[in-house]
Amino acid sequence: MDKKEIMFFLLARAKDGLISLCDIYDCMKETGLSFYDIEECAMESGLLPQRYERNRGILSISEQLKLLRSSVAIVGCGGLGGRVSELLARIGIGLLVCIDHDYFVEQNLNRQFFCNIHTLGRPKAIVLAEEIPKINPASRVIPKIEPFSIDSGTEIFSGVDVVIDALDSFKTRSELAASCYILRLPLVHGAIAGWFGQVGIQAENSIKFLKLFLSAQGKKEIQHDIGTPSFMPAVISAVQVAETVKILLKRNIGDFDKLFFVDLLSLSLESGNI
Amino acid sequence: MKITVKLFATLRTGRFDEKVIQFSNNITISDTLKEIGITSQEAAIIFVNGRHAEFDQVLYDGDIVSIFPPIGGG
Repeated sequence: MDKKEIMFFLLARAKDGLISLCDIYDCMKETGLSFYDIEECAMESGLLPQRYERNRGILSISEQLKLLRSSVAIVGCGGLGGRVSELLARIGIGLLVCIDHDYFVEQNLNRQFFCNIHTLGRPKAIVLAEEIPKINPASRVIPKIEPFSIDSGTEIFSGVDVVIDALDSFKTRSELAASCYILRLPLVHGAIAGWFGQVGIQAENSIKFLKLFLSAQGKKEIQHDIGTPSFMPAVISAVQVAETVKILLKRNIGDFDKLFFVDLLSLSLESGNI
Repeated sequence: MKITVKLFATLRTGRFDEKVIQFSNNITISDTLKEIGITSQEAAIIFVNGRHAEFDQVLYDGDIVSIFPPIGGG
């Protein structure tokens, strides 16, 4: 089947401009193409996969297609990184590069989305690569079971559009922010502790968060005392993903080099320019 | 001169949420931290009137200083 025939197949099956999961699987059988290829072809024809119906109010078909063709790196696959990956797959990002050298352990069960009785002891990045396509078969995961460093960053981030900071120390964050600056990539920072969390975006040509992370290195990070409960990764990861979508669709003029601090104990939000 | 100091997260424990403090002129953020008993180890991010500031920045009457601890978990 050539592209025009695939488009014809999809247009013939579509109802109200939507193409169902079954239609995509039928088309895969007919053509031997991947789920991603068929979703891409559908959206090029002006059809929307039914899974994105509830996105229609805020995303046009061309924007949904842009997200499918986007690639996001998630550095750290724990509390923040797991939920970030899940949300990115649901919004329809086509490629996720998930980096974490760690394995799921029992104390991750309180907050890490992909940590459960069955995944304990398994590498986090591998579990994400297995689970994400079950949520959205159009989202491919490249797992990297290695600690992040400035040396590995250049190779890992090749072809990536946005990088998400879901790390757990300022030392590695400094290397991450430096890598993003060298490669001119936007970085969406997130961090959590207890009832508190923060989100910020380092623009592709900025070193402001790099400087912030360097100045915070060696200080006593409060998560070691007050921990990280279930609700905080959920809140901060959601903001990180919303910011990522805005960067990819160029809708976030004004958000760069700002820090948003969330306090769920007093239910307040504070922001400032970095 | 009067400075409004706002503390966030665990820095509030045993201290206050927000307080207007009277200072003499030409004080820096470091002086303010010393006055309220917060070490530079405990403070990671400082905003003055909603803009990031370094510890040696001089403060002026009416400034609002917001102090955040190091939050680094993922």
